[in-house]
Amino acid sequence: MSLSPSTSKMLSLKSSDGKVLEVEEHVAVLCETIKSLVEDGCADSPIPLANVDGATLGNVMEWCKKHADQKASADDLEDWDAEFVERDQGELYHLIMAANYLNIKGLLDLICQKVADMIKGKHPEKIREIFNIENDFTPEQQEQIRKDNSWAFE
Amino acid sequence: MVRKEDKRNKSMEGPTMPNLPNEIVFDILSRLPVRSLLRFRCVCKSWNALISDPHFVKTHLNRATTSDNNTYQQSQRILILSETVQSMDFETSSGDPSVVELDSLSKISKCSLFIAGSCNGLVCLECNQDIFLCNPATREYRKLPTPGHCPTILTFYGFGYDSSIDDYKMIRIIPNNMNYLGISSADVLTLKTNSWRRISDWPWRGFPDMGVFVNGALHWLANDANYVDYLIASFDLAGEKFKEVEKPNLGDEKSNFTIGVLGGCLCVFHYHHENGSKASTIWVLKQYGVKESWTKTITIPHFGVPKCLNYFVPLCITKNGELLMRVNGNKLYEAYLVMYNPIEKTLKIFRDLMITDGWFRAATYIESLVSPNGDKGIERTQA
Repeated sequence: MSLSPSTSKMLSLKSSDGKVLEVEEHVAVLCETIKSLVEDGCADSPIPLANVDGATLGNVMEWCKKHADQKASADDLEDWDAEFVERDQGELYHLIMAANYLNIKGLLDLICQKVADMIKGKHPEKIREIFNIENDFTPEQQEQIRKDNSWAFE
Repeated sequence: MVRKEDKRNKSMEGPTMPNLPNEIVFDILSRLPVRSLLRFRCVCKSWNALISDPHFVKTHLNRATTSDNNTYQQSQRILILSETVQSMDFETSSGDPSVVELDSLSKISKCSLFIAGSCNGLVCLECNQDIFLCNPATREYRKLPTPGHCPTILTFYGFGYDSSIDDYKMIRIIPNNMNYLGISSADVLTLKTNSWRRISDWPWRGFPDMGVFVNGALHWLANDANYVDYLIASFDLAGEKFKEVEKPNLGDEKSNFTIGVLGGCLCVFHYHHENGSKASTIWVLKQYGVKESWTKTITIPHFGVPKCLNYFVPLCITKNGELLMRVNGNKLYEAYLVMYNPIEKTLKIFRDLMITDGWFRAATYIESLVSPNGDKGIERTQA
């Protein structure tokens, strides 16, 4: 099946909060999930995306549009991506979940890298807070791990 | 992963990334430097287990060794053995290398250590045939068994990874008698079995220097049996066979060169004369096993270089394309680490190595979680 820009038709995508977005097919198929639907002939509109809200879907499609642009150079994309990920943690979280659900490897890599850079120097307590993780170590176990890796806490 | 009830979600200080799927957590953590990961061991039990998991360790290592623009490229560091064991970051943005003392590794042995190999973040240290395997990034180490005593300083080593059995191998080559001209024997240790066994004889005359690990094989500079010329000796870790790697056509009679690895490729550093003055030229074997792929790259003219410096041995290419090299001085026991910028053609000395006995003791390594204790290393800090 040809998915070249010249023959691209429009797909409509419906977000979890009922917003409908019209997107060119060659842009939307950067999402592997949507691509399979199109290839299987199941892309009759609107495609319901139950796990992605309207605002996030807009952001995801903005990224896809930029990355579907054949004229964009690698340097250009890199700069653009760097600006694209300048967002608060809440937005990044929604983008990760959407990229995972829609199966967009490039976007998922980008956001995971951003989150990794963001948490790199942080204290474990802060990490638990961000990711909503309960500390299930006993104080003794915790102390032992700290002792074994003491220089990493300096 | 244990999660709290989402009670705090409404507060501004609450979790901003709750309930990430495990594979996403895995992906994010595999992009972090070792130091952060060691800290994050105490976040919770499941993170601690993940950070020690062999599959995770391997994914993290692969990210560090394969670089592209979008992934985190682990910095290379250099391990320096002087009176203490130090790790130096030579890729700092300010250009001033920062040095960290590795106290626990400094205490390994009372005698002065040599570097016997470096691969995937593991560095082999040797002293009077006591062999230690350490990971300078996690500061774990372990003593390997000694392969029977041999009263000679003419022993040499190599250390690398055998992907066919997913294990690390150490090789030791010793002359059979004190006559340097005689046959040498080779012994191999696999890390998982933790025992030495004798393999075929080393068919050349050796140079006691650390083996260079490229493409699943170790390489040494050797003499042919008649001491007529130098050759590149290789040992394929999976097949356990010695072979000769064809060197580039260097154009002179008895070539003066050393070998090393740059950007994952086997390299030859050729010392020669160009326009009447000394120069070093780097040849890169772009496609392993294909003699025609030897490619001449940078030539470093010794013109303009301080007269006291000789014999450049490139150690690695930095992220911004500079060449980290070790270089000997004119005086005995004088050595430096220098950085060469091939575009501006400038050379900067940034570390006097203060070697005291003629042996150079520094090797580059990448920061990884690979444990010298193999997969068993995880039990150390697991609750």
